[in-house]
Amino acid sequence: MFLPSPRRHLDTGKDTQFNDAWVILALLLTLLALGLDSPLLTTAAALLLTLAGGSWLWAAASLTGLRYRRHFSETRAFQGETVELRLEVHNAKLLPLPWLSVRDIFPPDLPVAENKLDINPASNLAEFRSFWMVGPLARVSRRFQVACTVRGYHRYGPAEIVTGDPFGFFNRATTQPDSEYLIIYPRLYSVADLRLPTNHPFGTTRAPASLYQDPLRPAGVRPWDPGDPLRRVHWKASARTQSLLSRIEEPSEEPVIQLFLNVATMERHWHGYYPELQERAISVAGSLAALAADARLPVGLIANGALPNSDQALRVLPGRSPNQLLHILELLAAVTPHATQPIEDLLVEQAAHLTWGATLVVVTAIAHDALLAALLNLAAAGRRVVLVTLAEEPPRRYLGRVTVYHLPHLVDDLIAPTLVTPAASVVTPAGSRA
Amino acid sequence: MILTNRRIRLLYLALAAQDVAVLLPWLATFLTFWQQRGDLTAAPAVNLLIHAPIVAFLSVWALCIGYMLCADLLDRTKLAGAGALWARNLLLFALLTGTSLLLVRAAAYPDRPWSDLSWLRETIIALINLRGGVRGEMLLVLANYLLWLRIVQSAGALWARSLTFFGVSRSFRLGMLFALLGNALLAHWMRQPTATTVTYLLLFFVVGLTAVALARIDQKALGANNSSGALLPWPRFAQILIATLLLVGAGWLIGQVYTPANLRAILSWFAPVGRLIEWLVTGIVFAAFWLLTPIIEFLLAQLQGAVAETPQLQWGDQPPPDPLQPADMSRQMALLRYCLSAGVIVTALVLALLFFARSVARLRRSEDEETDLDSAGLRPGRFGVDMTRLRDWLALLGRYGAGSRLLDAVTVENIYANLVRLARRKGFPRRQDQTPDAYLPQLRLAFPAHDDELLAITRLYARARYGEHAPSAADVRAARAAYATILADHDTGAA
Repeated sequence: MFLPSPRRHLDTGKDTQFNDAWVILALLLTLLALGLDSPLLTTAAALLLTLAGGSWLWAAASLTGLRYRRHFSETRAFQGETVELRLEVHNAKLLPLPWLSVRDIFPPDLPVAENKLDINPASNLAEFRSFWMVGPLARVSRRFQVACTVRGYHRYGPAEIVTGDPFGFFNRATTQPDSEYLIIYPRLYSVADLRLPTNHPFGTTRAPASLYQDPLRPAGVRPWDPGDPLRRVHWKASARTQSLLSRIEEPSEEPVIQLFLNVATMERHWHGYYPELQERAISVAGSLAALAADARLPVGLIANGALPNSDQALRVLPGRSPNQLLHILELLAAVTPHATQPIEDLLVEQAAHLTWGATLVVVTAIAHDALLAALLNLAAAGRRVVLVTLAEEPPRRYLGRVTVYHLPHLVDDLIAPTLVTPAASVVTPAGSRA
Repeated sequence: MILTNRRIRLLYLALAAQDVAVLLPWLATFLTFWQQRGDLTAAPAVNLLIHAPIVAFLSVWALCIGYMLCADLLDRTKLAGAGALWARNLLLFALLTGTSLLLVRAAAYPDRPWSDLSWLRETIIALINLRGGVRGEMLLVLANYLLWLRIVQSAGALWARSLTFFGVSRSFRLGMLFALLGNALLAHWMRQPTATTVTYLLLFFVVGLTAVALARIDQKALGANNSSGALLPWPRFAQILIATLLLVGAGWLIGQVYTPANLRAILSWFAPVGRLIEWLVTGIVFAAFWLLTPIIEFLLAQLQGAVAETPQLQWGDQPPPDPLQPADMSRQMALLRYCLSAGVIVTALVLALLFFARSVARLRRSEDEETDLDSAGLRPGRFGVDMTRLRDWLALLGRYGAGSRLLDAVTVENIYANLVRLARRKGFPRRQDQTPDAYLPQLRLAFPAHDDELLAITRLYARARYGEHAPSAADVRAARAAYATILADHDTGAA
């Protein structure tokens, strides 16, 4: 019984001014008023109790009918663009809210123009603190400009809302778990930026083998030639036009582009990664996907990165859907920087599931021996393989049937300066990339 | 600044009203006390305070606002030179004296013609001739002194009053206790009407709660670095005021029902229970006494035996002292009264001296603000501050040498210190752990239209304070120009 009570401590984080002393004082005043027969003291006691009770009721009702929302003018944007973010508070009740504090979680990489984000070093998330005064049945909104500076699948939220009575007696807090997402696509290079050949950017391809055509994939009609077999005659069209027409069918093998993205920037991916170099590789992959989509080629993407909260490699099979490029870009926006497995393993594993005529385009920031060996094996097996590398040096050995594009101009600015000593010996700082 | 600081202007006004609502019941109590003892000089003031409390409240509040304006103007007056502080204090003292005399003239001698200056003689006699006891004039002067004290404390220039939510709420709670006590004395000791005291109490709650609400909103707005930065809109202020009035009104209405008579009526329903408890308590006490009586009697017998053995007090050859005679008692009472009056005067003088000494200390501390802020560890004493300042000077001397470069660096530091002081007066103090860069956003809030000037001064200060190269003469000119621009807007109240 002589131990200090755990309740007896100074709460330095207390943000309100109410405590038990208010009620005790009111009771003492009441007793004193009874003894002195004093209406003044009973009025004072009534004032204290009313103040405490009214403030409690006010605070208790303050979160009712309260909504906090975020609206983006666009939920998808490219790097360098600016998106308008509208924050809105709706108070759907008659009770006004003299103060309302919102602590919203924002991505730390996207600055909000003319506003400050508090970076929480523990969570590496940014806190956006805002203050509102909302009248009864009122809707207040504010607009902010978000600069889309960093590729990603950026999450906004959850938000912690704190409000209370105006006299600082009681607070009420709630967490609004809703989140909004802003997708920022990677930067896309033009063909000129990539410096790829305009005719055959994915390597020289053989002409589509017209010897084998797929009857399930009609492509159109043409006038009948005497050499056409009768089963090729399109009878319905012929009847309609009163002239013999033959079907045109698509070849059973067509050029298909399957992109392989290596998100690793070191040979051993668990050693870490160079963020900027990785970004360039992702941008090149996105640009090649756009290039293929422009050429109306079915394109797909496989990467050894994963989506957030997932450990599975990205895998989009080639397609010609109008949304295919959008889908690929969204995946590239969200891809995490950590590799799930070596790209050569993924390449060998996935190539077996791809159509024989597919062109395997490998985009990588490094061209290490294991990857080159895997590419040579695939090429030797008859696959069409293209290597797009951002490494400092091109592959030193001849890769035979593998088409190699070396794009060092895209990463020139990332190479660390080299100190040339008087003895003409070259000293390279630790980590050759900045 | 009080009235040029738009952000917290309403808060200052509400705090002044709160102080007035606390002061008036006490003033009414003491003036009534002296009036009942036959001093009729303050009868007009008592009449106003007792029979028209709202008018009295509004009048004194208006007086306070006038004092705030005076303090504001005094604070903005650029008194230069070594005697600036004493000149400021003398002006304050002159204002205090002048307003006290005017207050006495208006409150105690309202019927005298303006050409009749006999009231002045009577007032001076009342203040210095204490043989007649404390008179109403002295109380009025003391009340005026207290008002000035609170006003200058609130002015934020030399006596920064805490305007945070906790500062204001603590002031509200303390004020509530004082208001309760003052009103209770007025109602029960002076037997004044309950309606008057309740009115004072309601006024206190209205203005006090408004002040607390304004401080709460200000605290929350400052805590969110992405608030819109707009001033409190009038509709929102009206909502706060209406809410306060409704709450206090509800309390007053409940107070009409929650009366001692009604409470007794309710308690009478539980009379049987009360009687049972009374019977039980009586029985327990009786049993306890019955059980303890032998022990008490034993102890009493022991005590009587011990007293009986003690020898009688011997006076020796001298006769025992005579009991006090009425004439001696009267003489001693007069001496006591004289001592009491002298004590009051000495106390007032000591308070006034403390008042001015405090102003000097605050001013010196604000001058040493940069030294204080940048010195780590516990707050140093006066000697420590001087030593720190000397060390900083020596460090500057070592870095820049004795010459124009040193003067330039010191000038830049002084400009920054002045800027910090201005910002503090506007409610944006610099914390001890804030670097110049970290403090820059708050400076921007304090002077919203001067981003470029603030950035330039901050960079120059950081360079002069922490860098290796002294600012050039052109830099110092630029800093002076930037500071002059900020100061001009600040003085016109646009900042």
